[in-house]
Amino acid sequence: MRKLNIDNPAKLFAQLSAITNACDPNDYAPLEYYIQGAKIELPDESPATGDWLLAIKAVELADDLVQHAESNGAMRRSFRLVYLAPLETYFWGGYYWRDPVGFTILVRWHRIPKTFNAQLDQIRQRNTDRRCGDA
Amino acid sequence: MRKAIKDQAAKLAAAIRETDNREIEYRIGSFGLELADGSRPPAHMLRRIQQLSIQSETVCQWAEANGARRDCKLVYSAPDGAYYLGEYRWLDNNGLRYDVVYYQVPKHLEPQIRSLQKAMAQELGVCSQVSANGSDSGGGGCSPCAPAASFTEASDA
Repeated sequence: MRKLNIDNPAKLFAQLSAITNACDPNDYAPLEYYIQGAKIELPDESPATGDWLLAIKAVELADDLVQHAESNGAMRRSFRLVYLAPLETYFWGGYYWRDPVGFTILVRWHRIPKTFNAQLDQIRQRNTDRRCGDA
Repeated sequence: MRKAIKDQAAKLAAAIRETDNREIEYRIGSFGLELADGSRPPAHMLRRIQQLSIQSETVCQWAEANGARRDCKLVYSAPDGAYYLGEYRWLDNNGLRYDVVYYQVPKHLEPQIRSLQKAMAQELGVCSQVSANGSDSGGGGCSPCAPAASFTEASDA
């Protein structure tokens, strides 16, 4: 079992990317869409249908466990790690900017194999502890 | 960008800001566009943002640092027949988040834009001449307000 670098967001997302890239694409097909101005579009430029929107809403509205952003001139990427409690599953999402002003963004969500849940639970636990400490 | 031209552009931008003729304000967040309250801009506003920030013609762009860094661009929107100053103020150190304001340039300041364009054209002419003579080492030394350049590329050359 690969040990995740849960204290370093950049390394963590690089590891998660490698893990999900190695997964069977049939079992772990990413959820992919474009934020195009006010619209959500699928990769073939068709408007997202109800079932897609439901899935998109679930991950978009989930609380961030970890966030990380990178910039290389106009090329930007932002990453999020979220947990969907009903599925007991972690997902990581990459937002890839298609223009310098953030009008078009390609978003790709990946399901993380549950074998990593125990390690990722530590992040969630830590965030909960921090919130309790703040209160 | 040559310092004299950048100074001229910065002075013009200051005059435009003084008019406070703000057309649109929004934030470029880590995951897209937002209003000040974190909500997504409505469709009509997004259309306008697209028109001004993507579809307009860039006349000149430069960076200013006065405490927080800001990147500025002067654009021409053909459908409006008007010039706009876009100001992108950095909200973090690496330029991942910006507060953006587009000001419409009042007609009485347009002669100054033309004067700026003339100065840029003259400099480009000088640069071409220098390059033709083979005495310019190249590498982007003469690139006033290159329309295709990104903000960072256009800064403080």
